Amino acid sequence: MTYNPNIPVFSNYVTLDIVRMKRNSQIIDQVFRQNHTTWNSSLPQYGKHGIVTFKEQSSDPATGATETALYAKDDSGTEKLYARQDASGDVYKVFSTPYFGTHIKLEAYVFFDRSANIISQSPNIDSVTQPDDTLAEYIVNFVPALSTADFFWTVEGMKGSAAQPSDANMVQPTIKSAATWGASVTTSAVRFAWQNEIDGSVGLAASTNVTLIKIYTVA
Amino acid sequence: MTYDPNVPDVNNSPAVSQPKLLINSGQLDTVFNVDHYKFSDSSGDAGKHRKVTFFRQSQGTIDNLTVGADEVAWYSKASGGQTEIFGKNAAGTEYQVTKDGAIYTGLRPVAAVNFDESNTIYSSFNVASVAKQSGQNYIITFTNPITPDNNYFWTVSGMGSNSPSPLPGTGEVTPAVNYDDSVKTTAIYVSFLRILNLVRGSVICWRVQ
Repeated sequence: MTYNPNIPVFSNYVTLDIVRMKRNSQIIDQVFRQNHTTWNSSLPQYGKHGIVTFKEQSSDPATGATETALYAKDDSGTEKLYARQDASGDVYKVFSTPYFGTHIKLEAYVFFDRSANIISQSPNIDSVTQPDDTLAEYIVNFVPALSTADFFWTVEGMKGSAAQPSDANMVQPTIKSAATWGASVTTSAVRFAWQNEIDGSVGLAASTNVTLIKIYTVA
Repeated sequence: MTYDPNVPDVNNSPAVSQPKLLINSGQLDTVFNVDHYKFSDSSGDAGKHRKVTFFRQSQGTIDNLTVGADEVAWYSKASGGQTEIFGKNAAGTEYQVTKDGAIYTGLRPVAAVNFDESNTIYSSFNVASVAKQSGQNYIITFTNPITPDNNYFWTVSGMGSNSPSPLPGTGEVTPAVNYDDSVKTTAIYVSFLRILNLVRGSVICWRVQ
């Protein structure tokens, strides 16, 4: 049962077309409810959208001088939401599921104290562990695993008030020095440490306050 | 041919109303088909969206827009000479969704790279090349220059080797007399001054939108 845009027909009996017109009315009501609320103007939400489902388009749509369009198209096998902006024709990704299309995305972050107690975290942080309670070395564990080990990162820290002799040389925390990237970094865990810039030794946990780690990947 | 909401008229004979009703039937299908899959679509997608086109609204219209308690409204309006998408919530708070050809996040990443000291790029965005200079100094050249100027934000992070000593790979923008010598629209010069070997470096540049 599909909508028939070619009725009523002049040569048909009224009784015949009334049946078809009624069917069209029912289809209009049914189809409109796919993404919109209702035709029933006695309800406050009539004519508005409930959800907006974007079917993948094969090409970017045309947009007029005062228009912006949202649509879905294929991107490496996955439908992603795009926007095309008025006469400039700029096309850009709105969502690179499940993230905003900002070229790179914040895939993980964790904010923790000197004892590895998590203060704030992204959902994929499973835990922060400390191999030695006295040292400012931390392993951040991810579940699920990161999408790649070749990420971009920032590590920032705030020192504690308790001084230690080498405090003047204790730089901000970094991914712990190792012979290879894989020795400190995998998709499931990354090893961070506050290291002394003179001899590379790991600083005392008591001399730190908090550590903030952010991991970004290409969106 | 436009949709006539006033047909059929009770005083008209069916023969008079028939062509008007026929136009309306066709117009319903045609107009709905602009942003949706039309009523007569038989693929099972009827009613879904092909796209959502936001026709620019006047500021007066937006000022008078009331958003219900359980609603969110998106619309477009003029901003900075372009048509941008905005949203409004039930509290009447307006937020910008797009700006200058990108999602509006206030601070937008414009370049990023993960690399090693052999200039190998493992992951990147808008980075054309990494070139190691003497010591642990590197030039990161952008694919597209960062506009409009070099007053962007940056972070430089590194991971040091454990040989000959396990020194941290703390990174920074290469020290220079003038800011413009190290931070350019086409490239950024970075250094990891206290180590002999860099296992990996990470540079991210951001710009206010």
